[in-house]
Amino acid sequence: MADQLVLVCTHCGRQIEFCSFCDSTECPVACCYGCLVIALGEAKLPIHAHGG
Amino acid sequence: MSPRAAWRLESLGFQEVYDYEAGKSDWLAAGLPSEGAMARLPRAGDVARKDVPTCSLEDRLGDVREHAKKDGWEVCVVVNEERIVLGLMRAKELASDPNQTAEQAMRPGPSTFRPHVPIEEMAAFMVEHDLPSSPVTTSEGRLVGVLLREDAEREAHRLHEAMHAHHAEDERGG
Repeated sequence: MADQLVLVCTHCGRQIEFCSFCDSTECPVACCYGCLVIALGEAKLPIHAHGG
Repeated sequence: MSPRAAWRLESLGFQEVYDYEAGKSDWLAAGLPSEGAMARLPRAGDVARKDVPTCSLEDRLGDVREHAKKDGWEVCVVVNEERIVLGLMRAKELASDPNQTAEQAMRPGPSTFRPHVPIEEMAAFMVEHDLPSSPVTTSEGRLVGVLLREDAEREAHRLHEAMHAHHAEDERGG
């Protein structure tokens, strides 16, 4: 039986099903959703201690 | 803004002050105006083409392709009546069986990007991933436009040159 191709996030090493940037299942520079959100600055900033 | 800042503005005499509960990130993600040094930098929403062709799920692919090609596009966004992005068709999907519907041909649930993402970061990712186009939407999924790689690269290059010139000017002056 042929080995199944495993896609891994090139930023954090997590195993993923497809690249969150280009949606490809064979992306050589695959990125998971979590790393992509951080890389593109889309992550919500943590709330300040004063709640503002 | 924060509730405290809202109260402070009211104490300063501003009459119309609102607490935007969804927060600053949501405001920026909607492509709404902002101020400050970073606000001047071009972002995905500024560079995205707003005139990208769109179609509905039921549209015949042959008609969609003809319409897109006529205006020189190799991408079409499938949206609903609220302009929420449901799917994407790039050159490969547009070239498939013309008798299919857009729903049958499209890539469902494509990755989308928020308007406030810096253009330099989008350009770098698009080059690295060899992606010709990326849909830009609000947090609710409403289409803002499509960012083309050549536009993103050109704008990122222009920005880089401008910053380089600015630094050189600072060094000469300082």
